[in-house]
Amino acid sequence: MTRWGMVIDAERCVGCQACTVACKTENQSPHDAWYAPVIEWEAGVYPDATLNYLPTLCNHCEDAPCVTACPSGAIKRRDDGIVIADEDVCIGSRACMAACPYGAINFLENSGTASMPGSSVASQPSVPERYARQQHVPGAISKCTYCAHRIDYGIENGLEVGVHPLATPACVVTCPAECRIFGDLDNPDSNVSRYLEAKGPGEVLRPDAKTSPNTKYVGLP
Amino acid sequence: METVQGARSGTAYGDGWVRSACTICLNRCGILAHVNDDEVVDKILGDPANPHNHGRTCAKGDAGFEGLNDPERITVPLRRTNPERGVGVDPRWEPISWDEALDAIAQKLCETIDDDPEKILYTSFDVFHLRGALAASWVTGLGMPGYSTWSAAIFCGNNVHGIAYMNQNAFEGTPDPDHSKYILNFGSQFGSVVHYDTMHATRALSERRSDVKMVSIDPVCSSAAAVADEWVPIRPGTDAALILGMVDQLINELDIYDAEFLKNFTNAAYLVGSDGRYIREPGGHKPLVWDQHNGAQPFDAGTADAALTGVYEVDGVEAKPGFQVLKDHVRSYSPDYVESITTVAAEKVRRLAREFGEASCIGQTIEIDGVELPYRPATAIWYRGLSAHKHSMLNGLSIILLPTLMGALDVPGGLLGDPWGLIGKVKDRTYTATASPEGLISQGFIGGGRVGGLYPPRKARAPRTTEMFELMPCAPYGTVFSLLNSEQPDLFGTPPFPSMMINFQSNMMKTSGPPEIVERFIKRIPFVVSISRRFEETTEMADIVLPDLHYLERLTPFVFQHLSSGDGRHSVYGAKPVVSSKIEGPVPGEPYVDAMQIYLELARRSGTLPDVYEAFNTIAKMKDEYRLDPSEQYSYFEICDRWLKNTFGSDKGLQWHLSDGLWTDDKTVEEKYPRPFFEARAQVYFEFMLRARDDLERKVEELGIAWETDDYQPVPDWKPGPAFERTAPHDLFVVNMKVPNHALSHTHKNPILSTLSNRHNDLKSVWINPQTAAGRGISSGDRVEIETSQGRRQTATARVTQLVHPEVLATQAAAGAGPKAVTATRSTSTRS
Amino acid sequence: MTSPSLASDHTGAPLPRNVFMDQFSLEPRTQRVWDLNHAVWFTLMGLGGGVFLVGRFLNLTEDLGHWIGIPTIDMISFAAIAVGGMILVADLGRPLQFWRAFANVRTSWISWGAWSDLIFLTVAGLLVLPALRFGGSRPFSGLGWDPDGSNGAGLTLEIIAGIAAMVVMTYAGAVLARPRSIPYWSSLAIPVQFLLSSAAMSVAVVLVIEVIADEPISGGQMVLLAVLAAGLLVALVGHLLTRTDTPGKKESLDGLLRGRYRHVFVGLVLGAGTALPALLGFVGAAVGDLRDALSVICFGLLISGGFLLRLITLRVGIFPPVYIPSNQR
Repeated sequence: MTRWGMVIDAERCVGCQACTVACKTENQSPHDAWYAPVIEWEAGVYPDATLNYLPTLCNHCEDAPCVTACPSGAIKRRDDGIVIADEDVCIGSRACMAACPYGAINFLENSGTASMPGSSVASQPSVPERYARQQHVPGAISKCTYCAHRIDYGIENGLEVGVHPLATPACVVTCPAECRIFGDLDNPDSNVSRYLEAKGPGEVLRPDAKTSPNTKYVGLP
Repeated sequence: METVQGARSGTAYGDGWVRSACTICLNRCGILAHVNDDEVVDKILGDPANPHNHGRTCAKGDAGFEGLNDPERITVPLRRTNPERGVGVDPRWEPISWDEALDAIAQKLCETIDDDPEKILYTSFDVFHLRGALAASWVTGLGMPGYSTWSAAIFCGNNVHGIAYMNQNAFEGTPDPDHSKYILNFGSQFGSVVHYDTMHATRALSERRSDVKMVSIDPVCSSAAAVADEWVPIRPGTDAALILGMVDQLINELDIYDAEFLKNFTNAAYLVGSDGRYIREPGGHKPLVWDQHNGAQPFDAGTADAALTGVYEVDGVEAKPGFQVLKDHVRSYSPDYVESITTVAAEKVRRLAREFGEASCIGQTIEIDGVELPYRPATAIWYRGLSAHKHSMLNGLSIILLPTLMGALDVPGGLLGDPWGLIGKVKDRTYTATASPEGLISQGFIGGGRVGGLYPPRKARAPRTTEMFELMPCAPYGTVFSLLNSEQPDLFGTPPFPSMMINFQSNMMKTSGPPEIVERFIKRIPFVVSISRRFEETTEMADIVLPDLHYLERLTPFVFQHLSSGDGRHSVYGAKPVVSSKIEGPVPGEPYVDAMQIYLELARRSGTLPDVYEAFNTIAKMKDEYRLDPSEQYSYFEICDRWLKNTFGSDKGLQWHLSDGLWTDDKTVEEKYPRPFFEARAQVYFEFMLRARDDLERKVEELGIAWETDDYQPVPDWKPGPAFERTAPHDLFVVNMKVPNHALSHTHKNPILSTLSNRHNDLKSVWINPQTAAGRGISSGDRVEIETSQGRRQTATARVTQLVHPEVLATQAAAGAGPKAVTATRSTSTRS
Repeated sequence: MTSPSLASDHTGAPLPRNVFMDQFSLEPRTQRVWDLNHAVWFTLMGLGGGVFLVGRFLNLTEDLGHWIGIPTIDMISFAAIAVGGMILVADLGRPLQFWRAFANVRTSWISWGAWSDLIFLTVAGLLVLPALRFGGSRPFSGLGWDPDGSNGAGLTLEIIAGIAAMVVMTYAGAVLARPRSIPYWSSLAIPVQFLLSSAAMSVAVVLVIEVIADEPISGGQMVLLAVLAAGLLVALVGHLLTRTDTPGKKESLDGLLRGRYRHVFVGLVLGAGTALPALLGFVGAAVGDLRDALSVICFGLLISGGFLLRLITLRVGIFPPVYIPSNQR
């Protein structure tokens, strides 16, 4: 079986927010929603202080609490491990938002606007329309899809997922520090498995929530 | 009308992807931009084939397509009908034809050229001016002194370029990210995604995180300091003291320096008399060195073991090697003294010096491509942090000592020149530097802009413009003096004031000094033209506004010439129209692809086109078959075609540029690490400064101008800037900082990037240390009012943070660009 | 449909509630999903299920008056659940798609809640249908079951309705408790608190109806009220004293006991809303003359306390940081 996952080497991150923006232009997330932000926090006391960075996104959990909590079945875990929300099915109960330990789910208010205020260009997914949901539904939630549309496009067109830019999540492709790696966690020879073997075993965020994320971290401060 | 566009196929990504270049910041990444069926650019990727950014983009580049369909874009030439100019005053724009606009400007150009062409002030920089030889030819052809990098005077690395040319024959130096082990980062953003060579450095340093120690010396824990292994907070404006303290530790206490390198590749052994001047061969020009066996010899007499230290007697005169003078000089920078100036603990000064010295691996070598080269994996980088205040040049001359004394110039692990003495040369590149008669790397004047080198110093002349650049024999820019001359016209004997200004892609009001002073300066200029994509403060001061293009609509053949030293490949590439602009251009029947078309058309209408062509033939080193015939007229496209063919060969003209346009090549080992392969020397003793001072003092005395010349000294010092002596109640320093998701002021209007900034609150807050805040009862989120000693006031939101020096308030650079007062004008005038 | 923004960024500026990962900082974060509307429907659901069950349990359903033939107690129950359901639907992002809430019965407590509301209203409605008086006649009296559950069919319906009522009372707490995202919520204590609070509120409602109907209140009824309130007090205090260092829960407890909500929580929820009615219940059990007055007082205290318990429980729902740096663990 294929189980798509991401390894994030936090030690490499330089906090440039390229992933944050690449995600937004790829998925055109509602204007105030950011699916893949880089979290910052201060540590230490002057003069031995510093700023730390942590790239985040939906953790695509094996035991996804959003899937469990969702009353409408709008959020599903695909066979390849990607947790994806069907905004047309979503009723906007927001149970998933309270259930997600990572704050990875965003709600577009009924009165909200799906686009950036002042934005003059509707950015589009980089692969043909049929692979991607472009319009966000007011009153529904939206979330990171691991750029499932790119993965599907890549597989259908024989591109190597996690390597070819059009078959790899946008946040991974853009990263100047190359701190995000995407691949098949079930394949011991995949890029992600090899990276975990070299730098692993890999931690997860909020281990207390017992969600078994497919987004793994190494080099956490 | 035919269209000229970048090819939409040919890359590995299928149809719709155009290879081009991002010009949002100076790193200038290679990109692939996607055009959809509606002719909308909807995605930007890094070009994986481009070795400069290896398929990556930053936040700015990802969001770069914003602005293309901006409803507030300027689409037609506009003329002011309200004679009253000022910020917030409605210019009452009236649309005019290109013909009218160009004729009006050309007429003014003719009048000014007849009077004094140096009274044409051509300003640019915010959106980087990348037209190289062509723009240089235009200003030369019209008789201007060069284009004025106005904003650069405030935010650029003022001392960086001249010093890089002096010691590296390059435009600037950056650490070798592939081999360095220790990097001292003095107030620059190296290692974050803001700098030259940034994508390569970011990737290489991320890959080698555990092998490299990065130390960031900065009053603010910037994003680069956050990535570094250690942040060393320092009192603003005192870096030179720390650097000279480290130099003292290295050469006086630890005895760590690369003696072989200093003897053979620098002027360290050149003998200096008690007057500070070189002791030269009798009746000749060559400086002498002390040969242990044969006494004083000319520097190039093949002395194998010239003395670096000691006191000698040459023809009855006491002589010391320059290195000995430096050694004696830096003894006054003891760690305790340094601590009292910088607030960096004396113990830390010692430790940093020791770490740096030990990491320099003096004597070690490394094999690159089968050739054994010196391995000096410790270096230092600086930029604006050491530049943006008084005594900037002394700061730069201090810090270049660190890599120079360690022999870490253009060798593996050291400070690498970028581009390495090669501007304009692609195919016929040669790796050597011109040596002056003194045997020193000689590069006086750089590029097409008004960017001056340091050595040899230029001869002082009477000022021809308010910039007074003629009285700055070793400076790269003089633009701030225009403001001073505007405010106090009699201060320096009233140098000629500009009669007209052409402002290109630059919002001087935000980036070039206190806005109200810049406003008064612009108001005094009788005729102002601005070429801009949208209204900002400076453009709203113009008499005539011409529409500019978005970078994804431009044809710019040479955006990037990455001919640097270091591992990796050469690459040269340009920008091409990813989509065609819908805006009508200056030349009827010709698609509008670049502001250069405006310049050429202005040259034609002002009768200076033949001069521009001649200048171009010379500056671009045009071969016979591609030279422009001054009696003919060429379209911008024909010129680009010839220019490209001249550079890359007959098969690589405009069509090649549009369909591919990416030139890459392997580097030889001499190109990767050139220092061991040429003879011209770097400097550790700056004797030329004394000569420059003498010449300058003679000139200003003759002109009757009061002029400071104290900083022209052969060994650098730390000197307090005017802000150093703080007097109550103005007891804090205000510094500004930079985030990686903005470049200059022009990205602040990008809706994606500005929304992101709102999330971070990075552009609106002022950082204050908890110690300082507590004493003033300030908590995070409070609105605070800041008053400067010049009486300027500004309110901001406080962010109480450990990430800033207790004596410092840190704010964002160039934040909040965009007109506020004249929104109504904006929305009505552009619709016409 | 907007609730007050509870979080603010480090500058004090309020943040929109539609996004969580909007501060880009590693701080405990107050949930902004559920607030006033949810507290109201949680309360109404608890009351609706509880009043029906308490009426049947105390065998008072038939004694406390009827409206168009239907026992007043049941009418109150139906009304509470119907209104609560409508608030729930109105609060959805897409109310017109509410029917999809029934889809995920496998794992979603909200789906269970939707079904239990529907089943309860349907089955309890059917149960009382034979009693419906319509213009002097009972059009459905021919149906083969007894509305008070004294025959087989009636009893079956009553049991099904009773089970559904139990779920209605419970599921709001279970919705909060099931995920581990918010440690203060992620505990059996929350559904137990909500259940006990609902039961105590419901007893109080029934007692007040007894007062209105001029029925004598027994000492046992007062004891029941007192025991439920005391049980709630135990469940609350127990939850406050366990796992107090857990990230996220620690901040919630700070908010309840030392921070913004300390007066309301300690004074109105713990004291006036729980401990005091427990005490008054025991007093009422001992002193027969005071029962009517004490019932009315307890009703006021328990209802307001129960509502505030739910509202404040929602408001102190805090997500711990997604990551706790190794030197801070």
